[in-house]
Amino acid sequence: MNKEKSISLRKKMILAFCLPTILLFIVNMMLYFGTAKVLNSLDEIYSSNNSLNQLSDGLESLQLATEGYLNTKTSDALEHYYIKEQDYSDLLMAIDDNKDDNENRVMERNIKRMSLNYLVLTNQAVESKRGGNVEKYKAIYEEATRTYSYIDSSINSLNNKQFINNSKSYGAMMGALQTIERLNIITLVTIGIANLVFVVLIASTIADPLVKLAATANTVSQGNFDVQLPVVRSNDEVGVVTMAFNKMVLSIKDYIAKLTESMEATRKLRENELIMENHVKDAELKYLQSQINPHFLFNTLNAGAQLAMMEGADRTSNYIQRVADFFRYNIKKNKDVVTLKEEIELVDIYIYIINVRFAGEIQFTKEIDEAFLSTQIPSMILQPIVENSINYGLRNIEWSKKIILSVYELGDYVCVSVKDNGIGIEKETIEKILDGSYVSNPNKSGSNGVGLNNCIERLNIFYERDDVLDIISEGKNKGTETILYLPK
Amino acid sequence: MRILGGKRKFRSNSALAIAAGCAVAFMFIATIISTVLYKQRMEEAVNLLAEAKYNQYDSYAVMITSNDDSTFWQQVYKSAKEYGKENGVYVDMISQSVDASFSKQELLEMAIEAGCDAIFIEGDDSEETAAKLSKAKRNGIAVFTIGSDADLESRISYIGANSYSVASMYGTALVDNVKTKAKVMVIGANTVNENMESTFINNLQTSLIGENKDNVNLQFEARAIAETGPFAIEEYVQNMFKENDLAPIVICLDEETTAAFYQAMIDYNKVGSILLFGSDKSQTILTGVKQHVISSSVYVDADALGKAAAGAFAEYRDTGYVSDYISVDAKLVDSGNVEEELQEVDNE
Repeated sequence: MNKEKSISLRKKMILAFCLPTILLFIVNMMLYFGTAKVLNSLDEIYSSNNSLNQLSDGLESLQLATEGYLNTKTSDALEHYYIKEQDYSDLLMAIDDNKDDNENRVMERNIKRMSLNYLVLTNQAVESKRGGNVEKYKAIYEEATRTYSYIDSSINSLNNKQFINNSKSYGAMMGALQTIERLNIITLVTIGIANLVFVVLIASTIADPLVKLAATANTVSQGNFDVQLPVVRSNDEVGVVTMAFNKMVLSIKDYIAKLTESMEATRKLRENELIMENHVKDAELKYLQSQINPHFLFNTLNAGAQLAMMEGADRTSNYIQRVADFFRYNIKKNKDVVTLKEEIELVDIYIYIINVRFAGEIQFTKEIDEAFLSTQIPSMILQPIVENSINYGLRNIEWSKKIILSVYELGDYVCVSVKDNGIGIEKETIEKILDGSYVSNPNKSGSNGVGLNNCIERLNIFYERDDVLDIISEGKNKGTETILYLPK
Repeated sequence: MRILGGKRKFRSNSALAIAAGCAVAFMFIATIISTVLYKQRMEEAVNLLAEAKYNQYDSYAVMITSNDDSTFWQQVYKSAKEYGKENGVYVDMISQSVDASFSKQELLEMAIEAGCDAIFIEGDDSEETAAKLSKAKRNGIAVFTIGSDADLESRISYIGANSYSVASMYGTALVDNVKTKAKVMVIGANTVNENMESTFINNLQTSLIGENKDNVNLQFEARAIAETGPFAIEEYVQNMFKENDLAPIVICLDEETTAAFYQAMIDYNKVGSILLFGSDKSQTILTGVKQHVISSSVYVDADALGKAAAGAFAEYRDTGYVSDYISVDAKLVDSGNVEEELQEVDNE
């Protein structure tokens, strides 16, 4: 599954809210501080005019103070003069004695130089007044007054020029401020729109997998488990839920498949049972058809045996007793599962009857591993096999007739072998018998009515295998071996 | 793209994530561009307030003339300023910097108070000027007279046209136009005093003798406009025309008088009856020459005068010595060369 490197839902939401907020905050702060800086600069624009105005005021105050002292000669006026002189000197300190190649700067320089001369002149005038030199202080005062007018005029002119220049700067600054204002608005609107898009997109990335999941859940709820499961692209909370949902759908699918399989197996088992039952009933029917009334026959044979005993014919009595046993077995066991031991006993009885009938010409040998005598087996299996060997294999042969019944272990199986030294069976016939397509002659005499086919089918159904019985014959007159492979 | 609930939606998680990333990138780019533009604009704004860097001068010289606003003196000032800049001299015309109107003496006093290194002054023979120039000299300021000379004691050097060669030019112009006996009025404003006029007349007569044209019997009358107030020249000239106090030949020795006389001739319909010789070459005077109202005008090359003045001070400053007279050529403009001169003035 191709998973993106993903961020959890919580982080996504924090990102969606915080990133735009932080960005907007930064931009706003930047714009705010920038604008504040420009506004501060605006204050500075006219600072040169303010300085010149202060200088002009200072000059005027000094001139008035000088005039005041010269008029009154009081110590207050003198003190006032000194204060004003100091004030003006301080103001002059701010002006540098430059050599800049610029008209306004030259004017500043001239104002400073003239002012310094003016200070000297006022000082001289005041000192002359204090010294009582009337002529001198008057002449100096006149010169100082002229110089004052020159300085005042220069300051005013420079102030006007500065004002014009500053107004231009102010206009330019205002222009810059307006541009910045427009820039602010455009930036904020742009970032605002981008933020909106960002938030919408982030919200979509959160909602989209949920919408897909809901759609899939709807389809599943309608019983369609073959729906294409939503792809888990992220490891966030939605991804975890989607993964869980996908797992759940797969588990349900798996469970349903197993349930169906189990139901199918049960159905098949039931079907087998029914077939088995059918076969047993079929065998029974055939038996009843051939033995019109086994109970009557059994009772009759018992009566015959007792009669023979009363007459002292022990062998006849024994024979009739065995025949009765044979039929009793059939009556008693033909519906049940029996042990191998019981089946072998039936074979013994059958061989006894047959040998009586055929003057003991059949040599029956048993090689039995008694450990397996309790093995479960459907009833009426071995006797029809042995009967088959006698009827088809041994009946018409000229040599000594032998049948060997063996029970032994082979791997996981208990093998029951019925081997004769009769005429043998051709391979084609064996195949036909094994696949159930061989049709025997129904008029063949001497059968108890339960054919080999019936045995094979019942074995196959009982063991749910089709290789329970095997027939081996090496060719004509080389005998036949029928082997049952019974599970332990 | 797929159909979900009957609604078409463009929804692919990775596409949305990329789009969201693009939105963030766009925000950042917009912020950066905005910051850059903002910073540029801010720098431009702040640069307006930044203290400019100026070239430094070595010496400070002040130019003071009788009429600082006239085209001639403005030209001289411009030339001196340009040449001075090349030599580390800042030439200032205080009257142009200060809004209030100050007299020549007041401007001179301002220059002294401002502690300048040199003064270029159009000389006159007033005592007041001489006193101020003397004070300037005491204060160690180098004084140069330009156009007209003044107190020889106080000044370092005089820069101007040779008065004899100027007079010769007028003489030549006179003899070319005057064939009979006539009265010649020589008129000048306050910067041209009577002594200067007498000198001019003497020089003119001498030059006529030199040209062997003394056979023309010319009577000279010198007039000086003593009033110095505003519009004094124009009013004086108007009164002359009103009172018909005129002569067939008039020589004006300065720009303002020439212009006033030229306008009055047109106003009083005297064109053709008065032969006017002017001074300097303003746009008005050149137009007068072109229209044949003014016969010819003699002017001193303002550029050369300004350059020579600034050069004289630079030389004095650097070497401690400069010639006490520096000659500047005078030129005559008449109908023959007026077109070239007009073009030159237009170009300026």
